[in-house]
Amino acid sequence: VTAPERSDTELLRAHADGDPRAFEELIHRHRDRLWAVALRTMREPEEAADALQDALISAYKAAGSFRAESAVTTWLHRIVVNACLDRIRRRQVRPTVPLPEEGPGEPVERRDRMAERDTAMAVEDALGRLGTEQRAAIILVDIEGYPVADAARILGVAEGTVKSRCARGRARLAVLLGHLRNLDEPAAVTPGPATGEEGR
Amino acid sequence: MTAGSRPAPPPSPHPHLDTLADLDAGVLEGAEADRVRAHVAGCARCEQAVAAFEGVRADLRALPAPPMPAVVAARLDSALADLRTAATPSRPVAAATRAPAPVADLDAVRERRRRRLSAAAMAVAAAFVLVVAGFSVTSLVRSGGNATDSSAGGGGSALEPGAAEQKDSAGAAPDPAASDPALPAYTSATLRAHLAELEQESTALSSAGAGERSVLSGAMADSALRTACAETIPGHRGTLRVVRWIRYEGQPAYVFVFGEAGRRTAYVVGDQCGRTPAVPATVLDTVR
Repeated sequence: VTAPERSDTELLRAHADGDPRAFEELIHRHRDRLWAVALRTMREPEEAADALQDALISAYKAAGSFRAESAVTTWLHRIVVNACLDRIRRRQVRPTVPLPEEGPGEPVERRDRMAERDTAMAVEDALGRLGTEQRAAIILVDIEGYPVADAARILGVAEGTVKSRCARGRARLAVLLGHLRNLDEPAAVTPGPATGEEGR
Repeated sequence: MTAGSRPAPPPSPHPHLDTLADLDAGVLEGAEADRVRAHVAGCARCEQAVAAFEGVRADLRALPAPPMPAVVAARLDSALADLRTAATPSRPVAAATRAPAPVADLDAVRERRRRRLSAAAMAVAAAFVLVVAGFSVTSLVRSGGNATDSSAGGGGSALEPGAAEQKDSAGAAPDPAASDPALPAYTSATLRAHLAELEQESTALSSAGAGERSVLSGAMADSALRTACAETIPGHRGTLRVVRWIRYEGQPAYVFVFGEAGRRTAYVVGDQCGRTPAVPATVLDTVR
């Protein structure tokens, strides 16, 4: 067994230098987290698996272009998230049957039912109702715990954009998850039409 | 869309929820930030709204990481191993069970699969969106893991050899009754043809006064469980029209059909869906 304590950067360099096992060791180390991001971004495990496989092949081939100014995990996440977003964009231009969105706001009865359900299920469900870009920002910052600067690097957008997407996403989640049910004047806390695409 | 572009209801003296969220996230700057912050400091309602964002963050932090299904892990391992053997052709192939595949072949395999899925999509009546959920192993094996499957139909028969692996997809011992051979049995190929029938049955029941929901039997006769399961189907829209207990690819399952504005969407979910501890309906395969 050779050097199980190699750092991410060392493994990636070793891979670029021709170490045949280094890349698999690197991916094995991070794949659960990459999977979680891919799955939550894509919402469908098969699509997530496709995107993750595409991403890993890209990363395998592009390892020589990695520059040590960012962490290897940030670099890997960037490739995975991009593979997911590419796939979602391609899916959106396909002539699929569009899923109609519900009208403005969410029925109160629906919020109540959701609030009573197991929280994690409700949160995953609500997350799936966000637009892709808001969801991707929230996954990275609020679920994976990336600093805004790293999330911005992963998503290829400005830090302010990440903050804004997170803010609008949280506002919608707060409504969807029933955190605001006890406020008066409910009309004032409805974060716009429930198109799932606002803030893009 | 920029902050503040959306008109708030005129009578409300409170900042819009989005504005409060922007403040909370550090998006607001200068005078506007000061103004909103001052309002929040003196307004219990808006203070509560801002506190709700921390509640949302706490909910998100607490989400358990979804485990990578074994079939996905195996598929990725295989793809990486193929890359490695392709990159180092001089290395002996250890097990000789899989020929070293050049990278181009991997791409070709995935492209073939895409084409197959596209062809299948074309065959589906436009009025229906069929979503197959809750079969992590079967769906992924069918379309992801079996590079040698060249059947143009992409039908269910290719799933049979995977039956032994399907144990971990449900996560719990199956209800003995759930394997009842009398349940109507479908595969991914045959179910499509029967969706119209299911919808007709539903319409007939509705007009006969049986209500818009009908459940033949099984665990989903429990409306709480049915609701819990339906709520976890990502992207479902409209009214739940019909629920049917079936066998799908040999496994007990439920079909949920939602209808809205003449469009129906059918989801197949595993029979553990909606149970406690939470078993969400995970959408794994979409054919549009």
